[in-house]
Amino acid sequence: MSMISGDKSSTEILSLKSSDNEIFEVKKEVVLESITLRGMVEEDEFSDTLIPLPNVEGKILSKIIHYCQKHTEARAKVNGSEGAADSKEIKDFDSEFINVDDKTLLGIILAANYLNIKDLLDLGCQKIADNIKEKSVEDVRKTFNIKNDFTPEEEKAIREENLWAFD
Amino acid sequence: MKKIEGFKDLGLQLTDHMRMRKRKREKVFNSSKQRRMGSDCINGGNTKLADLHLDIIFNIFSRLPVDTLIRLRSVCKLWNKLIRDPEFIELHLRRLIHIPPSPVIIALATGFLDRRRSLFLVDGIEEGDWRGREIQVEYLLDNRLDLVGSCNGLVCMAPEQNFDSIFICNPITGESLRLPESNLADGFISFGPRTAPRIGFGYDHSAKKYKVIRFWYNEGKLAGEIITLGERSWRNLDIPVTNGGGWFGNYPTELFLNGFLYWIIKREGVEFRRGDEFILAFDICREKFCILDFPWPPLETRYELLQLININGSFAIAIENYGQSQMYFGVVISKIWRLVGSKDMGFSLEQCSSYDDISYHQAYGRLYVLLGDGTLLLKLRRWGRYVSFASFHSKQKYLTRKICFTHKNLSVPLMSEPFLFTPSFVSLSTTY
Repeated sequence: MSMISGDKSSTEILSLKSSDNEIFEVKKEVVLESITLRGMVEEDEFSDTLIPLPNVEGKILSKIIHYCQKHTEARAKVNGSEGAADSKEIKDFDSEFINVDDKTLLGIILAANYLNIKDLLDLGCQKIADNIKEKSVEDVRKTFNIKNDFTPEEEKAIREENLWAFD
Repeated sequence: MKKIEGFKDLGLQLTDHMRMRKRKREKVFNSSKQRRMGSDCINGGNTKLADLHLDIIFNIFSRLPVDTLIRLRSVCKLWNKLIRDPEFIELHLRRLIHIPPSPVIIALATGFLDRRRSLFLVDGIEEGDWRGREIQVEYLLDNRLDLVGSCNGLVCMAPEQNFDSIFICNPITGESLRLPESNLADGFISFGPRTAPRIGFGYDHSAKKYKVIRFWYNEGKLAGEIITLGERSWRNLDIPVTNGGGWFGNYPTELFLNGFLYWIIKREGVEFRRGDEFILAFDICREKFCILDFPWPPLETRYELLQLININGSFAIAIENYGQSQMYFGVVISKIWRLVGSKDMGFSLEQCSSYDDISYHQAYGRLYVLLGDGTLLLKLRRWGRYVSFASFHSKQKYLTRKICFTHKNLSVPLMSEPFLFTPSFVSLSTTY
């Protein structure tokens, strides 16, 4: 499946390949939202070929591209000024965009970290932090797939240290 | 309280209770080297999760409030270590300072029945779900201490009217530190409530150190001393106030804002009524005083309470006027004045029209905090023992009251002056 973005201007189109071999065709300016990819592109290594992203699966990459497209468009509307990220439209988009299940959320965070897209990384981390606030300790373990390596005595000792926080 | 060897130089004292807890903690967890990657405690399955890098974990953790982080210590051994990591604590504090979280208030509470004193935290304020929690602090039981300041999650407790020791503590981590004795305690004069030493506690962001300053009125002049946490003795301070300082105002009111400590000082010879006040400001980084002089609003009634407050990051003064001689039965009207101007052009007070007409009965207010939506929060002290909080909506212009309950659904005990508090994990040993 390929995704051609936006208008028919002569802006350069780059191809990104996900870990599961999906290919996405993306406008260069959208790709440049990622500092990692910006480095690769500017070194001129990939201008004609595919940029392989073995760390990012197609489902996640598709979402990331969508985010970058939306943000590039918004910035263009205000002529590249810093205020773009604060507009209500973008804020609404962001909160809907990040309203996904935990697995996808973690995937987005990891990909945003790898691709070095700061705003998306912050958005993802804030969302997962907000989710964690509501979760019980056991639910947090499930979300992050963490094994409880405390003995019951050890766990009890920790809880008793700051009992007031557990109310 | 006994002094522990090895901590002698730092004047750090641990109570028996804390020592026992510390030993218990060290026994239960072995002190293996901290592992930096998240993969060790993560089960098979999704390899992506196992790649959750430390900086991402820290990014997520740094956005969480202190009580959530304390719960998350139980998730696994690695997370327990990460949350206690000094680098993380520093990151967390920086974010707290940059984006202030939901307001939390701390005060000294005295139990109704047993008169036992503890620190009392009130949170859930912005959400409207006010909850009080009691935190036991060992040395409060033996000493007549008052809460005199709070900064970055540390609180400063000092005896009210003499030069006895000052304590700094972090109520969340339980660490505490007793400051060295004052140099000037010898041959000291007794104090009355109007000349008792004033104590200021703040953070020097350039030196990254916490400082305490103490000043008092002695024979027509103000004298002072300062200490940085970690120093072994106090240093003298010159206070450029040649007349006045005899009466600091109705209540000790200080404000730490943007690296400055502020107090209201009266010029000499003025008793109950408000007359000639000025603001004494102390630059905590440069350790220098300056005086802010400007015309004050005219005295409206005979009785008045003044308080220095922070409105949206700028300096303001709240003035409460009592209509009748018995403050408990009159109507109290509060006004807020913001300080505008500059050193060169002169300062003046401008009334905050959004907070006009704050009035209430049979109580006097204290502690003003501005919530995110422009609501002003006050603590009202009624005659008798109950403390209630009230919020003033600047748009609707009415006051709503709330009695604050503890988590056990008991009404709030007697409280001393409350302070805004930012719960954090700042460790006293890293403040040096």
